[in-house]
Amino acid sequence: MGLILRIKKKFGFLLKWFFRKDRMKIGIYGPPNAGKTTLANRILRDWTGDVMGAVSDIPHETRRARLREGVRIEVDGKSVTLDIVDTPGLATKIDFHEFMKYGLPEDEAKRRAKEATEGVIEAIKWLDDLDGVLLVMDSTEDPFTQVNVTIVGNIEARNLPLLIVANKIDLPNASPARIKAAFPQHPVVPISALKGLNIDSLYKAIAERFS
Amino acid sequence: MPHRCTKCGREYADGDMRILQGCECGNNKFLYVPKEEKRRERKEEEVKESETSFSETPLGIESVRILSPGMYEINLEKVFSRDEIVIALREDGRYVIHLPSLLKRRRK
Repeated sequence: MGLILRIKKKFGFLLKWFFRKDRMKIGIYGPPNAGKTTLANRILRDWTGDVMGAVSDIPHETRRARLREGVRIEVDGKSVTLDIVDTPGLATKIDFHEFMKYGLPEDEAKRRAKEATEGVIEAIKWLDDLDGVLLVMDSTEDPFTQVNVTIVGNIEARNLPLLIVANKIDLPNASPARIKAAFPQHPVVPISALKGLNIDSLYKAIAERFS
Repeated sequence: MPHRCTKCGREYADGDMRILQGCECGNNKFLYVPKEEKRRERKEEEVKESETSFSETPLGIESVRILSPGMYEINLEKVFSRDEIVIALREDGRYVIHLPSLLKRRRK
């Protein structure tokens, strides 16, 4: 028994290499309005010429998870094929009054709140099927939130590779350094998904982290 | 502060010189507000606030708490750590267990 364990320990990396997946399923997670779908659209547009879904200023625009398979990313000779899941924003409180401030009628706001709640649960359930996570945070917001800390803690507990994306660096009050300081144990890539700023660094980090 | 200006609503304490000189808004009519009425007003405000804001009681076993149609609290920790979904209704002690999520787990 001891011999088998020793062999497994010594040659485990060979087994891993032999049985490695040729595709990685990556989830894009984060709080509402962090720019998850904007990032998914940017990645798809750059590598497939397609888009993932509609974006909006109203929180919880994405209320169902969307999967796009076979997105091949090649950077500096390294390549990785990803199945990308764009997930609804994770939140602890959803209140239809917030949507009414954007001009939605009460019925529609309530329906949106219900769908957004279902979306949060669906997003979390997707974690069981993933090989890695891109966690999108808004650089203009305080990163020490219950949502961010809970997501990072749970991804760590599942041993999933994590890459934090500090989005919206095109905005004047953005501070990606604050995100890096909050989660120093994980790589953080500052980008603007909307403007495409520093997006090449993100692709490089994706290829390194998930290949 | 039992003296309320009938024009701008500003309140002055008993014996305030402004009651004799007139309110800052120029009005010189004041309504005496008995303490009892004031307490009732505050209570009404508190009730209104508790209806519109989220509940202060910490989440327990439930994954989702439905406060009213369109207002939800999600216990992320519970949704992350358990497969089954337990929904709590606004009234304490009433829960709904989402059977499909529970049965799915059993099948694994």
